[in-house]
Amino acid sequence: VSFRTRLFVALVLAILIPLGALAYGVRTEMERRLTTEYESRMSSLVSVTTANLEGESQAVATRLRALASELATSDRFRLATVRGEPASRRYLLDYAAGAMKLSGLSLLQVQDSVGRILSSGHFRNEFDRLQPELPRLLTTVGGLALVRTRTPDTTVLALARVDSFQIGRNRFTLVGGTEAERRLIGPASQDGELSVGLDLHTGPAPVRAAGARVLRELPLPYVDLLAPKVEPDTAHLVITQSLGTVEALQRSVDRWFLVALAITVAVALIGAALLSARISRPLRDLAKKTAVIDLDRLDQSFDSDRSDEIGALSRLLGAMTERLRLSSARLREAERRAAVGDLARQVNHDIKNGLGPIRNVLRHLAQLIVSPDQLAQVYQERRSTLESSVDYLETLARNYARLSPGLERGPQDVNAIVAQVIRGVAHDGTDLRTRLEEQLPPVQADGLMLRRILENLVGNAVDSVAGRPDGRVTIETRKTQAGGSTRVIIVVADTGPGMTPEQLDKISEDFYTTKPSGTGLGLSIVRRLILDLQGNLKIETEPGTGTRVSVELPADSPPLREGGS
Amino acid sequence: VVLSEPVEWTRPLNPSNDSERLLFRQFLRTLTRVDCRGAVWPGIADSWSVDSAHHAWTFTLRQGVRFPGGAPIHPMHVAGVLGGPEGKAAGIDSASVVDDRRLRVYGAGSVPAILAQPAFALVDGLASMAPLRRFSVPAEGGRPAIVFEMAENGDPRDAIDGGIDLVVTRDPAVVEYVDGRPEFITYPLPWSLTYILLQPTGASPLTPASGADTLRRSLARDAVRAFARPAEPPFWTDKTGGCGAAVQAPRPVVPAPRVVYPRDDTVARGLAERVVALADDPQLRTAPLAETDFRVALHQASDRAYVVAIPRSTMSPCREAAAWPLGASILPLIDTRSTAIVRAGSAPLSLDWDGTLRVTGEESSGDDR
Repeated sequence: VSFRTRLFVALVLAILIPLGALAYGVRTEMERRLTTEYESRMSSLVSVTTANLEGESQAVATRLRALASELATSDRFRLATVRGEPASRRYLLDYAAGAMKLSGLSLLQVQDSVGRILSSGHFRNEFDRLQPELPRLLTTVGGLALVRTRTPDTTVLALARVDSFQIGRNRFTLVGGTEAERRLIGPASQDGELSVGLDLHTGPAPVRAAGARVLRELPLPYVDLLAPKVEPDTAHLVITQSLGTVEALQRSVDRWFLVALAITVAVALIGAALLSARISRPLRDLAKKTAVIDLDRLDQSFDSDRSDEIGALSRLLGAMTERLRLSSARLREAERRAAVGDLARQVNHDIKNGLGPIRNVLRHLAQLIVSPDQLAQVYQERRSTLESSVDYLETLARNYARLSPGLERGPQDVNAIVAQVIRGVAHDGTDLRTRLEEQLPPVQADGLMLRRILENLVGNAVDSVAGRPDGRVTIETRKTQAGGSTRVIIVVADTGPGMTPEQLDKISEDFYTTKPSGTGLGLSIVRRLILDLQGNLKIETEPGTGTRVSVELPADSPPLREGGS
Repeated sequence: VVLSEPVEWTRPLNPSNDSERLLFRQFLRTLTRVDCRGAVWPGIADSWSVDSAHHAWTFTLRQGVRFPGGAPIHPMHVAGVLGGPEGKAAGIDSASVVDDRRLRVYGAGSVPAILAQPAFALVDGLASMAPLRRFSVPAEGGRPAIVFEMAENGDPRDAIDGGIDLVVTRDPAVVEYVDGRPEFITYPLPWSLTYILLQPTGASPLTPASGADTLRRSLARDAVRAFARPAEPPFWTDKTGGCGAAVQAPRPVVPAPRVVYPRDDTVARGLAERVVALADDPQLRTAPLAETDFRVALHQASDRAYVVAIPRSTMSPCREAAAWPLGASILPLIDTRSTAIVRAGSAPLSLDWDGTLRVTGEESSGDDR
């Protein structure tokens, strides 16, 4: 796993883990608080409902007692019931309806001692029907009970009680009640989330429907007069909590959390990718530069303006490269000295080879001093030997001169050398331009070596644009400050075909060339010469655009130290 | 005249309550009228004759007879009404215009009596009166102008105290209100409505075990607030075996457990409630419906039973039973009648064949007044 990948994963986790913990905490706290609130409201609702039931029972009992007292003393009721007077019958039939409305009841029934309905307020024309089970069951309950009965056109659910009174030997019962659903369910329905419903065991209870949670069930005596068999039962007041609101709230929180999470993840991924790339890129660049360093390629620049650890590392690598460069120069110098020794021995040997015939001829001629008449003849005979030896020595001298140019350091005017090179290069009409900075400081170098470097670079540039109508070679000089010292930069740029990265990697190798007639040694020699001058070589190229070669040389460079350290 | 019940002006030929019946009867223009004893009197025709074969009847319209809206009546208008399917059903073969005042009607039986039916009445110009709470019918012939008022809050006692001359009511409380007041005379009108329990074919009978007569007595005595008696024969419904809707609506296999009645009819409500109270089915309920919905429900015959008010007498049984389901079981329950409360000294009144009052304004034969 790369450093960049690990950095990326660490950044993502650093963002997501706290966010996940926050979301979990918010959701848990919200649920806890909602549950507490619902418990409180439910307790209040239960208390209110219980108090309502008790209050309703007392109210119904009070009204029935008042009606019973009135009927017990009513002459018309007595005439209609005890005496059976026909003229009072209509009064009796209509009595319950009027009394029911006046007393605020929803259910009222007057029965005689055998359970015959004498007057019914909620169902006027059910007179004379036998329904003894209703007062009997209500008496058994002993208080308020839920009664389901019918009116002519609908079903009514009432909170009912029973009372009785006596006229003479005749006993009458009063069954009265108030509408249950309005009394019980009405107040609770104002609460949008908690609701009260009735479970009468007559089928699927809507209060237990999906989407609601049963919080509490309050038992209530129940008489169903519409059932096939009328017997005491128990209904339940069911307090439910609508899950819709809670679930909607949770869904809303989850939805917003997911939106926030998605945005955060996206931002975290992008941010982590950018950050990790930004952190790792300098390291990767350093690694890439470091990978190409060897004794022949110590021209990598590790300059950095960064003030952080990467900048420090870069500068350390630069310093290390500089030390390597110095060491390499010393090593080359040692090699050169060794080579000079060998060369001296070879020269000694070769000169001796050349001088031997000459010495022999001279000795021969010296022997002829005693006979001068033969001197001219012998000279003529040995002349060819002398000339061939001299030719040999001249050839030998020329060859050695070519093999090892002299290295004489001194202040060199770069602009002047550039001008000489331009004059000497056969450019066949190539557009050669110069941008030479005035007041350019001299560089410490061997003039011949510097000229060979520039001849090589300019020659390559001219060759690269040969045959191109828009071919142009630009030579630029300028000075720069780096690391507290002044350096001179020479740039040779062309508009030639440029190079691919693969070609660029091989361009400094010995015997690599892109020219049909090249030896592949030019740029390799140039690199070594620049290194000998403690300079840097930088090549920027792009296929189709051209190549830009920068040579950076120290101005006022101290002379190369002779010998070892 | 005070009208204590709501009036629907779009059905002058099919009144559904006493107020409509009283009101529209003053507007109907029939060739003849038949009084409560069966005597035929001139209507818009002041004379008629018949040929020797008793088949061609020639009616002469009164001079200057007009529609209630004021337009003149031409024999052509009458011939147009008689030539329709109603005429064929009543035995009228054809009708033709003789001249500007005469038309000839061909038919069998007592054609002048047949033509007294509201079905052959000319009606025009009523729609403009619909939104009025008080309106006048101009004087015509010897009849004085009649001013009709809609009773405020539906209680005719307010109108009685306000100086009204005539109230027709079925409410005993209103009759009791004027009882003993010398300026008012109360006339019990003939038994004019019969309430029946109509059960479509296939519905289980709702008649209690105690029998129909016991039920009728109970209903008439205790179940309704009206002048009522147990329904007494003859019942023209016995003659409707072959009558019924020409097109029968599809019926459900199991009828709805409802006893349906017209919402505005308090007598029908009392009867329906008592029927429900006496039934063994605890799921049975009453169902009050608006007049139009009630007719639709009756036509569909999808309920256990219907309480229907029908005229006690009719000249066309099949016309009355046209909307009933075929083969329905019919149990007459009670007869009811209205009471006319008349201010002493007001205009003379007469009774039509069906018990409806008509303000005549003239001394007629005497016995029908």
